[in-house]
Amino acid sequence: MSVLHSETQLLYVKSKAYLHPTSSKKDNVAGFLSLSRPGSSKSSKDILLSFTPESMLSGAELDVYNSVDLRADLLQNLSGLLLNDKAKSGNQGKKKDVVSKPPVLVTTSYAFSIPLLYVYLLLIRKPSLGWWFGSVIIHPKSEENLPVVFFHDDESPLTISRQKVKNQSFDPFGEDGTMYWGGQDFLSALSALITMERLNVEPSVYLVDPISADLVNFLPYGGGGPPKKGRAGSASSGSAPKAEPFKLPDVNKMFASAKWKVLETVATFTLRTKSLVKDIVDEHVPQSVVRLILTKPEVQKVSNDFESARVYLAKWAAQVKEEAEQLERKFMMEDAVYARINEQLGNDKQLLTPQEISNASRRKPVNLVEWKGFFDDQGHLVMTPDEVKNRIFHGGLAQDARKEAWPFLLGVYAWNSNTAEREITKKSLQSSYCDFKRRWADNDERRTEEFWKDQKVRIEKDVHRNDRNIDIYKSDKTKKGSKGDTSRKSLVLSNNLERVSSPETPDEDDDNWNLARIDNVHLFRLREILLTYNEYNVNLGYIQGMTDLLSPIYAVFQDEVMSFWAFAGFMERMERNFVRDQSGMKRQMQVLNELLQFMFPDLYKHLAKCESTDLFFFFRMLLVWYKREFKWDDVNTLWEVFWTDYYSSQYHLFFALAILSSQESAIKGYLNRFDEVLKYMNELLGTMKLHDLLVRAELIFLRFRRMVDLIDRENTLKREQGELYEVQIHPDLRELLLRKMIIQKEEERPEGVGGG
Amino acid sequence: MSARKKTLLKVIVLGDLGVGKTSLMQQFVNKKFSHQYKATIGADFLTKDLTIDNKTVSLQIWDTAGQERFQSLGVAFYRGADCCVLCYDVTNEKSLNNLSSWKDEFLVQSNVSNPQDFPFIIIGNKIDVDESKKIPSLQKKLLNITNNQLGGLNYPLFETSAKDSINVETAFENVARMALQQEELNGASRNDMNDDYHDAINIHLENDNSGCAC
Repeated sequence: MSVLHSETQLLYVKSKAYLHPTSSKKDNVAGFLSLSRPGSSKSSKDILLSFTPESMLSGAELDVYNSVDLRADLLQNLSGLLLNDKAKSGNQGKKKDVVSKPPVLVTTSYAFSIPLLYVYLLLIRKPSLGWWFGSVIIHPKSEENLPVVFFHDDESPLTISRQKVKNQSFDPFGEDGTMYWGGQDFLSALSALITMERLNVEPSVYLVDPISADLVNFLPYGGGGPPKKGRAGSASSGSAPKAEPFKLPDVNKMFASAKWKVLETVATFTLRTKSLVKDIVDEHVPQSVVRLILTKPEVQKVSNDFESARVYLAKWAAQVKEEAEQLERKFMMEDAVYARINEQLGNDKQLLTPQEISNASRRKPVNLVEWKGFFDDQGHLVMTPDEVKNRIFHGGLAQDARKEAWPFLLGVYAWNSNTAEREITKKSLQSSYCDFKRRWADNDERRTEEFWKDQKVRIEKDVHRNDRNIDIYKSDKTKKGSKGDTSRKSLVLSNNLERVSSPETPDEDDDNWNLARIDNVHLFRLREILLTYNEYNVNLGYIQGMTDLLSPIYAVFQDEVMSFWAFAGFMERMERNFVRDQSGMKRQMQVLNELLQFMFPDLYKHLAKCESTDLFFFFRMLLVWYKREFKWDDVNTLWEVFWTDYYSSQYHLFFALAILSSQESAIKGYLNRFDEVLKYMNELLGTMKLHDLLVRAELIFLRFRRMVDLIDRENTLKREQGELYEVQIHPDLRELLLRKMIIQKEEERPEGVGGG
Repeated sequence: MSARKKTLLKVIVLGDLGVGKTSLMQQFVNKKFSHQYKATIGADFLTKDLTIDNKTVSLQIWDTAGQERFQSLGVAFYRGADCCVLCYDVTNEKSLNNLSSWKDEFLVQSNVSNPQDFPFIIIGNKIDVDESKKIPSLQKKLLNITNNQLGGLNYPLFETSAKDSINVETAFENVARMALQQEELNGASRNDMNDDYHDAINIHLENDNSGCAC
């Protein structure tokens, strides 16, 4: 009995495939992604790739779909099945797995169906930290756009059972080191049925039954002869690209081919002036892409900088990719972040409290009104400090709340104090500050010491060049408005120790670049605070980088005493970054190295090839907590998050991994040498999205914690069974789960040693 | 495309904090000056192509932190250096006196094969500053340092102003010339950039790994 024309034989079914037509979870369309052979089929190119919503199927058909989905041995038999059927002999009389043909395109119900002949390529996105659900985007050869199909593995019975098997054998990650997911079977099924060509240049792209012209289009010189002019773009998108805004899903096609053309061409050049790059690009890439790329200020800057071609390419690729993701993000909103975490912890809910799970997305910042609501009328905290920290960890603070909240986060005020107690603390800190300040300001002997004079020069140099783009630190001469309060009047010290200017800063010089002359009152106070800290922590003194740490704190308080103590509190945990032998920095970079190996072994291997596993490019980011890499406001938010020690006092290392993993494809794809990696990482400055990276860092942390837990349980089990082999978790890594601040103090300064 | 060879020359710039290392490099490579370059933390480099005796070279100039203790980490970039620039500030005597420790620091970290005749160059920056601010009897002190000090810093010396772009170009051209000599001494093959570019970008589809890789 043969299959009728109106019918089709299901070869492969993936249940719990979803469309996400809007950002809201409730609009998701559940259905089946299937491969089926119509009765009229002559070759594998006729096989239909279909998405059929559950709601469109009758009860009987649902049963057929589900039974095919659950057939675990299906994959092995697929090609056999195909051969048998071609002979049309073996299964006569058996009308197996036959359903009515899926509808071709029903707009109201989201169903679609397309013969493989008309599929140009598939873009596969594995579930990853960026994408909780794996998905596939089907690009037809025509110009129509098909919706993205998401694999909800947590609901798919077959995938769950397979994941379970993999977990039991303690191999949750497949051969390529990534988690097993539903899309893998789909790809395997497809490749059993038809030729699939995975692109080396963009490993997430699979060409479906590519004809030679397609391959030439993606091949460098040699494969099919040099590419001809004007070919780019046309073969991939089926028609000349229109001068429309960069938009999905076309961007993926254009990107795949355009990137390729530029890559091969630029790679053969060693001269890299802007105009030259432009010429190359002009020649080989669709105009609309060229325009978009070259108008980016970042790209212009890049090509101006005579950079090596690969650094340029890596940036470009990262940028285009990000643009594509930015647009797609419409389909993945906060809901998805919740779902991600829920699913990640699916079988291990006991690891996280429900509250932790629901809190894992970014919230709106805590403003002053909300902050005040945390306290009763005596000024006693009505929540636990952890609740407050949780709130700040996930939302940060609004500018107006910072002045109130930072003293708590930085240990100036105790969490269990009340308003009256804080007033007393404030008073005693005021007088204590004056005591420390007097040690240099009121001590002529001190000020003649060689060491002290050195430190003063260093401080003044750094203060002068600190954050001068920030309003309060701008030069008075370039700042408009009255000079009213900007006299160089120093802090009025409580017991008549009032100085109009400090004795060692002569006024007479009119040179506007004189180190000793600090016109801006705020810069002047930075200097006073740092000179006083030099007395407060005599062993450490002043080290470059401290100005970076003080500057945002001062900007929030704009008060010398409060800024000093908040800074001193911050320095408690940061002192280890500055100690003379640099052991604190070395230690952190070592732990980061271990964490990277544990979490992203592939990326680590690539960095090893680049001789970059010392992770030196993280030095600046770790030393001053990403102060130089992010925008001013972002730095404030980031530090608040770190200050909470909500998951770990070493959360800045997880954040480093978030940055590194977000650049993974650019690094792996384009960077091959120590200097290239360093340059690329140094110039991420200002291009990173804080919000995304924070979510990413949290997911990395949760995954890390879960991995440690899995391994621990595995070890316990083995121990109970008397097996000797255990997977060891290095104590360095285990320490990352601790919330207690790590404090390392500087040793006493040996006689005659300078502050260098 | 011509298969022209380009030599990559690696130069390390050292000196006390605030002597103007970043400014010198920015002036030379990007023809810019600002008073407000932040204190360098970690390390970074700029690249500039030059023609020296009809040979095109790519000068990779490494900017470093002046804070001594930060040198103890991240010495990776010292490796394979072809020339080292020691900087001081003509208004800061201490920075002048520290030149020889910077030289020692470099030799220890870089582990060069010919410490005796490795090319160093000395740059005294900020000559635009008013005469009265300069180190008193600078020339005499310089002579002392270059001739008499233990080991002697008998190296080419340039006085520059990164601010007013005085002598910066000349100084770095000499840097390039000296680096080129050193590079040729060490064998020219290892830094052939042209080959590097071809090898480094993987532009071949993996034939043996076609189809689905799941």
